[in-house]
Amino acid sequence: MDILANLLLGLQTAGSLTNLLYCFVGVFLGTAIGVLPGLGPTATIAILLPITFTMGPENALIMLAGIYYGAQYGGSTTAILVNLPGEPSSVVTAIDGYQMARKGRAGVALSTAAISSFVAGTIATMLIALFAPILGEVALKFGPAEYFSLLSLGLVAALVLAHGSLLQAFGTVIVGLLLGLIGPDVNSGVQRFTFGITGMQDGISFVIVAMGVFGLGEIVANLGDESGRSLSGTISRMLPSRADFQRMAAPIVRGTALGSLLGILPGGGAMLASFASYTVEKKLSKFPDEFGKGAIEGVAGPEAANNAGAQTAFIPMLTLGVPSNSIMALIIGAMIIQGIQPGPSVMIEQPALFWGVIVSMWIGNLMLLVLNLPMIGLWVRMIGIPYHFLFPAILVFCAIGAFSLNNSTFDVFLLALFGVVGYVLRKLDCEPAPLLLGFILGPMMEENLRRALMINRGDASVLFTRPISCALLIAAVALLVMVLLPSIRASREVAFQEE
Amino acid sequence: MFRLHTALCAAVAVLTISQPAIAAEWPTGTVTIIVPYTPGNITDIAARIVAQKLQESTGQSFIVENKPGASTQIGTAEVARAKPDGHTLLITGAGYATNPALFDELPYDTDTDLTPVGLVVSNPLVLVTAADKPFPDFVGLVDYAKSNPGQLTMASGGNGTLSHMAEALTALATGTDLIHVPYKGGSAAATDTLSGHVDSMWDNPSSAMPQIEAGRIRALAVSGAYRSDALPDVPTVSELGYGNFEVVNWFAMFAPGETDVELLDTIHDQVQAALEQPDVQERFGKDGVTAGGPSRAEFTAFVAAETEKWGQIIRENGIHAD
Repeated sequence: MDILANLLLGLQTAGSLTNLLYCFVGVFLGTAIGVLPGLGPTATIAILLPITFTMGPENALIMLAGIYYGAQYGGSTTAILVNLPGEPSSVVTAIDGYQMARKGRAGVALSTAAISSFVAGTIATMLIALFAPILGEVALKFGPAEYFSLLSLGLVAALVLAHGSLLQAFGTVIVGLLLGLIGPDVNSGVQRFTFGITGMQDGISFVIVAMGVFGLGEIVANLGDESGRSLSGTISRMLPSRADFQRMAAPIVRGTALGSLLGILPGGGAMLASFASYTVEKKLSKFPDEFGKGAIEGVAGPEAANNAGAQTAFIPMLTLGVPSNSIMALIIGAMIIQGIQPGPSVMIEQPALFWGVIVSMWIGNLMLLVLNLPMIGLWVRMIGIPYHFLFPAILVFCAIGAFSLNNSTFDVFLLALFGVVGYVLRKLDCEPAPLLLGFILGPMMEENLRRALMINRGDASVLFTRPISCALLIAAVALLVMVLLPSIRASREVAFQEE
Repeated sequence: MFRLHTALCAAVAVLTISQPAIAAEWPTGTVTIIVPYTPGNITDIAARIVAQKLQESTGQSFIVENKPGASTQIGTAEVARAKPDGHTLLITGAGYATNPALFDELPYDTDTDLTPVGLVVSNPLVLVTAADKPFPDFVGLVDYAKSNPGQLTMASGGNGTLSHMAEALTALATGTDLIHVPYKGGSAAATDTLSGHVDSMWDNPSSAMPQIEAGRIRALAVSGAYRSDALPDVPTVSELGYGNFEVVNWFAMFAPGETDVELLDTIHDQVQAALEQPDVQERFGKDGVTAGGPSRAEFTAFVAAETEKWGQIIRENGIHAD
């Protein structure tokens, strides 16, 4: 068996004491930076790149990969505990995870996240080992037209994320879209809505919007509302109950499947996967009313999806030398420093490296589980800290995080501004998640639509004549109908009630 | 080796026969090299290799700081404002020469606030197309573009980037009507070229080589004045008879404008010595990248010529930067 020999080679590489150590350092650092708001894996890997100069290529890659998927774990921790999603992919986790925490189920939410991530990571690693070369080619099938259609589907999913009024969700998505337009237009290079401010020339960072509307908005709202201050509540248990396990099993499997597939696609696939998983779970759940109020499926599915996606995101990079996100681009940079040019030949010329990294991912996931489960008790105690200590601390960390993005005080002011936006949204009963999704997807959608039209000389029919694109658009329309039908009915009922 | 037009060299040679500089003390403490790009890209890697070599040869620490944003303006402006003591330096790319024409207003003045130190690395671009595209060579591509005006797409890493400049120059030199498709960054553009969603792209050999070797993309031409050692079989655009076509992707060191001339020479010589080390040469050579460059005076003239050349193309084509 070829695959067994390959995995054995990988195990030999990843299982060496030095590599185990680097793997541990990677996942530990990753968890730590994931927990700290603002400081993301991109910045951390960038800071650590020079250190990898002196390491062997396997050591460097194993450590950097560990930071990346470790940060996905850590990012969910703050999302659940204090409603601060550090990564786009943990935005969804914040919705139900934070509500679980408010109900005193923080421990269960955290262990659900850890367990889902581990299961998903294990399955995704196996998929990489078995199908990496074939799946790599799938990524290339996605051109601008396909991306536009996929993103349309994602945007419809944004409406599903909301559990309140559909009109309000629609409105917040639009506001998010508009915020996303700030910065240079990709096609002409013309600056849009920057008001000549240098700090806005490259657009607004996701981290600032997320920390502002989620974290700061939540803090201000809590301060204004006496009853909302009980962040901790009574903590009943740390581990999910039997019933919890039964409810999370299917979402984990579906989330893993979605994450593995979407993670392969360059450009935020893992993030889309967590949104998609939430949408699917909300539609399939026997308890749809619990979504947005602390449904365990809303944590298990998306967490499985984003971790599976984080693993399969390595496929295009390892098999083709094509980076699927900015972190993969950095890891390619690290390989170039080592004198390895990532490309289709890496798999054949550097089998120890290729398989070593893959096996290390599984070892790293195991380490994360072992590292995180005992930590949960500690984390949960953290939110028991009185709010007059906890809130200022979160604020300071957010401000440091915002400043560290570009070493610019302007970003800190922007953060404060988005804190106000978050508070106003809350007062208006609008949810921040659709806004953030519009903010992330809008610019990508515009870019890909215009690129697709440009490549096809302005002929929009390409969106329907390409099979993958057409299928995705049909799915988007179908989902839209599914979303609209019940709410139209519901709003009519409400209208009748009012009469 | 790095080459310039002979006329330019002759003019510049006079300048270089100055008295030998008295070695200025440099560095006397930590040197910060600001790179106005995100980490991990080729400029950043080059800067880090240079920093490491200089650290070995001088015994002082060299820190590479990434200050990306606003088309390299943010990092460049920071060096423009720095103390001219040789302890804050800039390594940037062709954006240095294109920004003055791309932006109405820059937070620095390239004539007074900054001064060239020397070339760090340079490479030609290579025009690539997916292996299944119907253009066997550069002439084939031009013929296709001529018989199908406004049909051939050429990707770039973004508006105002060097690959965009190369696209504009290609259209101009061959008299064809190309569709420019900008991406956010060269790697996204290269991916869509590899998969055939766009027809062609001027890419860096360092990222194109593995795909060329794997037979997934085809190299049609190189943009230098001479063939590239890394791709000896690929013709230059000029040798195919499309006039004086030259696009060089360069990354070079600059210092704050008021820096003392002797100090500049010292830095130039130390940097060049670091780049001439065999392991550095070999490291870059296999990616089709030349490490090191000409004298400081020659390089200063080169930067002026680049600024002039791209400024004209940007104005004539009405190009805006991202």
